[in-house]
Amino acid sequence: MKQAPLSIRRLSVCNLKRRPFRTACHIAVVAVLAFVLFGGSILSVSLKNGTRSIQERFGADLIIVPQNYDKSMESILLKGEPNYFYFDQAIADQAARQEGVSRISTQFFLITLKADCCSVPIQLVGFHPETDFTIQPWISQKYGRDLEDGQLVVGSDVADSGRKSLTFFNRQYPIAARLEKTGTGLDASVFTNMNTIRSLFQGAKAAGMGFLSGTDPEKSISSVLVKIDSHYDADTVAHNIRSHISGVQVIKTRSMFTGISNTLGSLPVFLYAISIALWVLAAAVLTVMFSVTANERKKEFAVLRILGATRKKLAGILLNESLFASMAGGIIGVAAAAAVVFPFNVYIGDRLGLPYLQPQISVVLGILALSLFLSFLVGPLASAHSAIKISRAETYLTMREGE
Amino acid sequence: MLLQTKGLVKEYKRGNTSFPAVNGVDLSVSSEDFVSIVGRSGSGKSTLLNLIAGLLKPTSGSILVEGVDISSLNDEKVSLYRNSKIGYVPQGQSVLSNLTVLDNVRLPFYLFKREGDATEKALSLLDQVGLADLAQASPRELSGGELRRVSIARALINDPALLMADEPTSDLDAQTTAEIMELFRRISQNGTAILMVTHELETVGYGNRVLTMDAGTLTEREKPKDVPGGASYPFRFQA
Repeated sequence: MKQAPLSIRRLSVCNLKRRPFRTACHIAVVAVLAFVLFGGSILSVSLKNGTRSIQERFGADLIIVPQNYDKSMESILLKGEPNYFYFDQAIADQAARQEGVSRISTQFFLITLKADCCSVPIQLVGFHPETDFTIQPWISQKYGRDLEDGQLVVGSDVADSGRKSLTFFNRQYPIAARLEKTGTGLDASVFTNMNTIRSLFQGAKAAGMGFLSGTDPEKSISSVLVKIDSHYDADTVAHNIRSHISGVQVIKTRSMFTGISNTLGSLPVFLYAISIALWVLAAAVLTVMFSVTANERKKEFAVLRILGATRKKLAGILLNESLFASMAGGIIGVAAAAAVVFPFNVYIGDRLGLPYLQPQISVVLGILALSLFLSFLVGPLASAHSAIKISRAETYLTMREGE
Repeated sequence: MLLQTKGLVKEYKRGNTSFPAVNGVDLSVSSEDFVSIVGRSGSGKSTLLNLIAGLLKPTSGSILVEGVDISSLNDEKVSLYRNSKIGYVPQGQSVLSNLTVLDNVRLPFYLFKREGDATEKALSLLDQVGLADLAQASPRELSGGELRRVSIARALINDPALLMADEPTSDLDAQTTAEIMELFRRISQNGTAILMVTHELETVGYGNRVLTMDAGTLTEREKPKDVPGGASYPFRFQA
C-alpha cells in the first residue's frame, strides 16, 4: 500500500480538513477581504479611467446649449441618457465672433425610440466633419477616411460588435466604424454627418414622431462646441458669450469634469479606507482565532516536538495552515468579485451615474496580483505571533499541563 | 554504553528558592537493558526522562548517548536525536486526532529527510502491536489501550536504540497493562533498550533492572522475583 509522504505541507492540509468549521471561518474572512480589495480596486480604477478618458477625448472647452439644458447635456455626455433640444443656428455664428473663441462646431441631437439594434432609445448625434474637433479625430484614427453620407459611427455599447448596419425609421444605415469604449454616454451614442442626420430627421418625421414638429434641421442646432484661444481662459470666454448671446447656457467642460472628479474623489478614498479597515479587522480576527486555537492545540504541538519536530517545523505547520486557508479565501473572494464587477460593469456604471471604463488587462492583472498578495499575507501575518509562541513553548511543561 | 548520565542535576525555581527535581543522577543503560524507574509522583522520574529526551536542559551534569553529550546540541540536532535515536511514549493520550492511525505511526519518519516510504514499516509495526486492521481508522475510534499501542508503534518507526516510556500503563486496566508490558518485553528482546518510568510496581518485573527515584536521587534495586502477579517486592514507596 503506497501512501503519500507526510510532509509538513500535507500535515497542514490534514489539520485544515479535520477542523472544517475553523477552516471555513478563516476562508470566509479572507474571502470577504479579497472581494472588497479586488472588487473595490477595479471599481475605483474603472471610475478614474472613465473620468480620465472623457477628459482626454473631449476636445471642447465650452459647450453652448439652450437655456436650462445644461443638465440634459451633461446627462447625454456622462450617462448616455438620450435627449434632444434645439436653438437657432445663428447662435453658432454669434459665438464664433466672441473674443477668445478659436473654433466652433455644431451638433444636432436626435433620439430614436425604436431601432432594430436596441431596446432602449439611442442618442443620434449629427456633426460637421469639416469643422468638428471632438469626434472627427477619433473617426480619422479608427476609420482612416471621411465619413460618407448615410454611414454611421457607433459607440462601443451600440449593438453587437459583428453588426454591419443599423435600421432607423425603416432605412438601413451601414456602420463605418466603432469607437473604443470611453466609459461615458458617448458609448451609447450613434454619430453621423449632418446630411445623414437630416435624412434621419425626415425619417422620424415621416414615422410620426410629433416632438419634432416645428424644428427645422437646416436652421436648428442642439449645441455649439467651442475651442478657446490659448491666450484666454474658459471663465472669461464663457462670460463673454453669456453677455452677448441671450437664451443660452455655457457649460465649462473642465468644471463639469471637476464635478465628476469631486463626486468620484471621495469614492476611491472611501473604498481604500474600507479596504484598509477590513484588512486590519481580518488580521485582528485571525490573530485572535489563531491565538485561541494555538492554545487549544498546545498538546498536539508538544507531541510533534517529542517526535522530533524542530521549533522551525512547528511554526511552519501553523504558518502553512494559515497560508493555505488564506489562499483558498483569497482565490474565492477574487473570483466572486470578478463574477460581479466584470459581467455587471455597465450596470454598475449606470447605477453610479459616473463614467465607468474598465482598466486594461495588464492593470487588472496588477490589481489581481496585489489583492491576492494582500489576502494571502493576512493569514500568515495573523498567525505569526501564535507560531512563534508555539515554537518557543516548553514541551515538558505543556505535557505536564495535560496530566 | 548506550546511555550514560553523570552527575545530572535539574533545578526548578519555586518562588525565590530553587530545588533539585533531579539531584546528581548517574545512570548507565546498555542496549540489552529494560530499565524500570519507579517512584512516587513528584520524585523526579518524568524530569529525568525529559532530560534524557533532550526536552529539558540540565542545570549541571552530562547526558551521553552513544558518546555524544546531547545537552550541548542545538535545536536541529537535538530534534534529530529525538527523532532517530530514541522513541518516546509520552504519558497519557498522545496520538494526533487529525491523522489516521497509520499516518500517526508514519509521521516521525517524515519529520526529517529520509529516503523511501514508511508505509510498509508502519503497517508491520501496527501488525506487531495487533492493530493492523485499524490502520485507516481515526484515533477517535480507538480505546485507551489501543491508543497506547499506536504510540508505541509510532515510537519504533525510526528503529530507535532507546525506547522511553513515561507511565505507559497509568490509565489502563490490568489486562491491557499486561498486554502493553508483554509488548515492551518483546521489543526489548528484539534489541531495543527500554527506559520506563512508572509508579506501578506490578510492571517492573518485565524488565531486567529496577531503579527507584526519591527526591531526585536514583537508587538501583534488586529485581523482584515473582512478577508479574508476585506479591513480594524488595522495596516499598515510603509514605
